[in-house]
Amino acid sequence: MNTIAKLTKAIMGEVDERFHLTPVIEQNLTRKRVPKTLSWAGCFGGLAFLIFLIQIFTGILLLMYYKSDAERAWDSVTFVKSNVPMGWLIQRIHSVGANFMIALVFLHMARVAYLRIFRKPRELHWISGSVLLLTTTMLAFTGYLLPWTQLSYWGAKVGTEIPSAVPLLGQYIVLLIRRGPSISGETLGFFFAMHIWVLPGISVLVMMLHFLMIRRTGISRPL
Amino acid sequence: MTSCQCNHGAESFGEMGVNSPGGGPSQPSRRGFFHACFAVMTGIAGFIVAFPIFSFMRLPKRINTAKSIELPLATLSESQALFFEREGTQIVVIYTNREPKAFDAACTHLGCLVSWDQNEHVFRCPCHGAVFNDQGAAVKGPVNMPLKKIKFEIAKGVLVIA
Repeated sequence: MNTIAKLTKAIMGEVDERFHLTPVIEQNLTRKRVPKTLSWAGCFGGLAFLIFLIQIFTGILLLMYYKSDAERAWDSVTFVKSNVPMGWLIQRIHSVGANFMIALVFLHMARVAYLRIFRKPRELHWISGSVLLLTTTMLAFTGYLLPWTQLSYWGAKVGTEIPSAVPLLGQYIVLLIRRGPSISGETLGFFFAMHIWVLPGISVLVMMLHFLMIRRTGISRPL
Repeated sequence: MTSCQCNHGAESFGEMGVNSPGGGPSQPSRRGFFHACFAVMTGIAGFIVAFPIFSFMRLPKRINTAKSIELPLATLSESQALFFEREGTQIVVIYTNREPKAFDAACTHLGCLVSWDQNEHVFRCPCHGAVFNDQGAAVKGPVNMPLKKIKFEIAKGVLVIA
């Protein structure tokens, strides 16, 4: 322990001499001041972000074996679950983590709504958060189709039917998001692209704005 | 870490042991004890996270699906070559001078797959121009090792590669 501390001090000393990093770390992380009234319920947003990071990490691991092809998608997921060491665990963390992430996002939003944290000057926090709620649910929905099971097929069938309620354009939107008249290999490819690149990309960008805004306005104090 | 208010990070490169009541670093202190506990728990947590990840990077179990190749001799014709894949190895079976021969089709130079030239009865490698005769011996090019022979048996007019 003492040697580790000495080593850290030596390395940090060299780094600090050049970048003055320790004050930044202390100010933002280790000695960051938060309102005394902040309760553990203030962690929900951060926990949702932590799960987002876990999702990205386990997602990258699953991507090593996943094949976004209607013929092979189910086989590849089954292969990960039964043949890859600890694959069942990584796959399960990724699928259960999605549920936890949505639950935490809702808890976070419930707290923000109940304590009226969204009031001025934090209106944009709420709006960007709403965008994140949308990307999170879309991530969960697109990810649900990827194992290509009966459950995911019919889940996608029902889910993509919803926009048909839109007046006039409804049927056209359904065709667009299904990439055809029915759920097929093209739907799978489209959902895969959304799930892997587009939605995480939008999420990361909006999250950066969301977090920077919180840093700028500071943590809300009770009324 | 962020919401924890006990400042582990700041202390670890702060004044270690200076504040201990005994004055010397050899004296066991409450702070030292908590630091040790923190280190042990971090280690356990790190192991729990790292173990599945490193396990995942290991090779997956594969069920041995390699079947023996059975080839009736009647299907072979003079000067023709047939290619088969078995457990990631390309096998070529040729029939010359009324005699079947089987080789690993990987060139012994750098592993490209050779093709069979039925007019001249030689194998040609597309990568660096190696040439092997119908016995698998190297005759030209940057290689002097013969093609690897594949064992086979002939039972009741059927060529079997186990």
